[in-house]
Amino acid sequence: MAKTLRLGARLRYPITISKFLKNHGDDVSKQEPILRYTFKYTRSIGDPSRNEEHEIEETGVADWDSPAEGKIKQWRVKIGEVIRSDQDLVTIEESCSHEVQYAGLCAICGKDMKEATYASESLDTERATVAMVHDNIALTVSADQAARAEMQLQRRLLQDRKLSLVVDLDQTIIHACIDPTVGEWQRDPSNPNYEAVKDVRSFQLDDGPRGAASGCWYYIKMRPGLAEFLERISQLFELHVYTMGTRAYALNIAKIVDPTQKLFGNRIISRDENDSITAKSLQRLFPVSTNMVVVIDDRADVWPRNRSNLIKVTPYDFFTGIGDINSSFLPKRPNVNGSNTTDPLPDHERSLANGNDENAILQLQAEEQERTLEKQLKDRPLLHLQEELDKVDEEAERKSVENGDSPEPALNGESESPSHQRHKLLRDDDKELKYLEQHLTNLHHSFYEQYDARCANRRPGDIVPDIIPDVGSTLNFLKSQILKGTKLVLSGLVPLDVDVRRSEIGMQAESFGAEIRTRVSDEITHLVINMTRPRTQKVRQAARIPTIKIVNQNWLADSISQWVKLDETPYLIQVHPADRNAETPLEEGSASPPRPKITIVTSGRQLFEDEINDAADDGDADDSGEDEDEDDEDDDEDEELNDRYNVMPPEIGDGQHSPIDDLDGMEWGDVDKELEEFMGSDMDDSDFESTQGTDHGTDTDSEEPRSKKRKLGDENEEDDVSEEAEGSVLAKKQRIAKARTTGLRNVRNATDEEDEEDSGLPTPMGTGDEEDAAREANVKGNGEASGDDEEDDDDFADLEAELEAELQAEGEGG
Amino acid sequence: MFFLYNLERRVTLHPSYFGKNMHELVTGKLLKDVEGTCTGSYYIISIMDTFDISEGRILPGSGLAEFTVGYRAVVWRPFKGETLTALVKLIPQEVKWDPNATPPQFTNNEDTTIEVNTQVRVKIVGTRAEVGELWAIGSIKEDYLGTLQN
Repeated sequence: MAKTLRLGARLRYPITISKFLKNHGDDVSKQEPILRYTFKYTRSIGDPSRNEEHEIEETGVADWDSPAEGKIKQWRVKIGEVIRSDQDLVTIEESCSHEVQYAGLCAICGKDMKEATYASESLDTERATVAMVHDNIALTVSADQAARAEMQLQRRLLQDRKLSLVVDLDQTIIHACIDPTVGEWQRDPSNPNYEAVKDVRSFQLDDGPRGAASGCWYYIKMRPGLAEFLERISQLFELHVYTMGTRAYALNIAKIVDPTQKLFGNRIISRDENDSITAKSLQRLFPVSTNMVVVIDDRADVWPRNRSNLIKVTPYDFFTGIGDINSSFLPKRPNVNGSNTTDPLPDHERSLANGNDENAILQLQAEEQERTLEKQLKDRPLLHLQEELDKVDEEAERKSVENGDSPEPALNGESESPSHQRHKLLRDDDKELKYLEQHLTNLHHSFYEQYDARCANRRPGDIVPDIIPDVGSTLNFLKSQILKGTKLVLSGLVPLDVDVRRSEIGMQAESFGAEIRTRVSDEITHLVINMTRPRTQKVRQAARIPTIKIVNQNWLADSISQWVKLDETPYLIQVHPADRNAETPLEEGSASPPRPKITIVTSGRQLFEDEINDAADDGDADDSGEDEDEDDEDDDEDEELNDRYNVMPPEIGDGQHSPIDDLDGMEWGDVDKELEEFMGSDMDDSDFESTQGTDHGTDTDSEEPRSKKRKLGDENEEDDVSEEAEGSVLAKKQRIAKARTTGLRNVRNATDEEDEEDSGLPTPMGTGDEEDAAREANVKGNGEASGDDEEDDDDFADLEAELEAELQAEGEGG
Repeated sequence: MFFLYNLERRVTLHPSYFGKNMHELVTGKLLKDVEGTCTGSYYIISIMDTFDISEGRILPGSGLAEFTVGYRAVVWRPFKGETLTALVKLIPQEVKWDPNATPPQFTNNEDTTIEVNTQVRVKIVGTRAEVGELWAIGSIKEDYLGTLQN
């Protein structure tokens, strides 16, 4: 191996080459002088105290010592040449280029690579930095060597018409737990879970000091159809295991999954050999090119660099409530379901994100895992869940048999699909691997289709890197066809503070070709909502656009898992009658351009009208009296506020461009103004009455259909009639509005803008703020009697109390 | 290469063990502490015997008794140029191998195969010592080196 040495930046340039100490063909060893050169320097002489100091220029002579050993091949400079800056000096033929190293020793010549000398600027260990062997990090190779090895691998795979498949263990192909309850159930054929757990495999693992969890039994459930899946898929792929479990754990699992070692061989990498404790990287195994590598994992967030090569599978959750026993080393799983309460990240997790002090974090995480495992051993979550289940079972035995689709209360958070039998805790009905096999087969097929096409006009056996197609882009293309043309809005699925497009579910959906929008409009094709929260504002908005299909999150999840745009019918959400009713006025409002201002008021009103249906559960349809109406309105206002509160998370998550607190303030401001407006309308009894009086003709018209509408709404019927009704209500509100001051109308306009643009002026928070109320009252006072203000304040306090109660109730309920 | 080596070590004993069989305990503790460890330049394979156990001295502060024990141990140290027999633990991916065999193996021609747990005779070409561990690189690229058949 020829190596060209440079002079280095540390010399006193300019230098003059005076002599070669070694000539062409001579052997040199490390630190041996091979070149003599001269350089000029200045120094001062004379006595500084007598001010006789002056500088003189002198010529120095120095030797240049070789940092490498070998045979001199060619001098790149000439004798007498003046060199002004760093440049190539000499080419040396090295006897060994130390391209493969093992634990700091050159694996080829056996020399110690960690020896540092003054002559060389870099350590020899830097020549081989790439660790690409699965089960050992001590063995490193140079980048060139890695590229060669990988090319060799790719050639072999292409010959066999295979691809590489990196397989995750936990929750992807198996589910592990250490709850001893499983062992007990296995020994007890009378247990309802016996069928499910009888083929659960187990092994005892003693990996390190770990207190109670040391030497415990691990129970391993293989995903249904795993053996066949691996058998068939290994015809098309060379399989690798990549797990965040320990090496001992990984080996034990491999023994269970692949007893003959035919599938995985020794291609197993665990967290002991991974360089990162939080992320997996394909570059660890395939440092040069990932063009032929596919990953299957249940977590996409651990593959930050290789998302394009990843097929995300639905987590296999057999032992209900256990989760991934090795996940304490990974970042917390983002909570997509929304029904669980997400704990705030522990402090050390957060510092982990910053990547400082890795050892301490590792320690903490190891402790955390230990704690989790010990807890599992002690608490036996499965046993408790089954006991709970039995209780529920007894109570609702009959119901559970026929009505499979009511969600399991105890398991709501974990269960993939809510439909399952109730009498046993563990279900064994996972179909993921079937889909996965299809996907992988398709992918393999289209990869080699491309490859063949590219190879068609080349000589056979002539493989160069650029004719190998990138399986990542192939995968992306296949995926992006699935949901192409769908425009989704997510509701209740992404936490407040997370950008939808950066959330896991959003990224997934986008990778499948769906377009993620943040607000409901008539371009939207689907509104994907959280089943547990079917009444968000987006649902209301979407309900008025008939082309939007409102589906639960399982539609998206199942479509993504099956790579098919599934029929929405089974996933459609029953929109709450009130919300459905609401669609008419809004539609009408938005469809009538001549009254743009009113539209906004309408949107407020519309919500408010929905709530009438809700609130008026006592006196349903037959109350057309004014008093009742007013009461209703009061309730409505509260309800609306509540609902808005409920809706706020997705709303705010929406606002991609405007800061969240801004939005937050605005929302509240909105509510504030609405409330204010109401105070005006409700309190001015005389005012109100008089308004009604003046427009009596239209009002009586409106009164009838309105009550009718309520009835209809509750019965979830046609909304045609209510359209009129809403119109009249609108008219009434408009009248009220007109009766009021211009100031208030201005306020309403602001609301309008906010609704439309999502970017309003931040308004102070807190509806019940005394000052606020006073201020608002003043604003209103412009055109109204000052006596009204006092009344307003009084009622405001009442309202506030009610509001708070409602909010609290809501908070506890949700 | 194996050596018989005279070594010395200080062993401490907790006061609760003070009694008639103290010397046995000290020897036991020595075996437990020392046998199978790597000092950085050699491995202590086995302790043959202890020939000198000093009087115990109570350490101020802790109350532990400290004995100075002289013992004879079999140690092993790899030398550069030494030829020895080893077991294969790991076959790097880079070497030309036959991936279809089970388990994967390194095949250079028809009659020699090297797989995990094969015995090979190697010549050490380089060693490196760190605290508690020793590394050596061996070569089979010479006459009479390589797999040991049967």
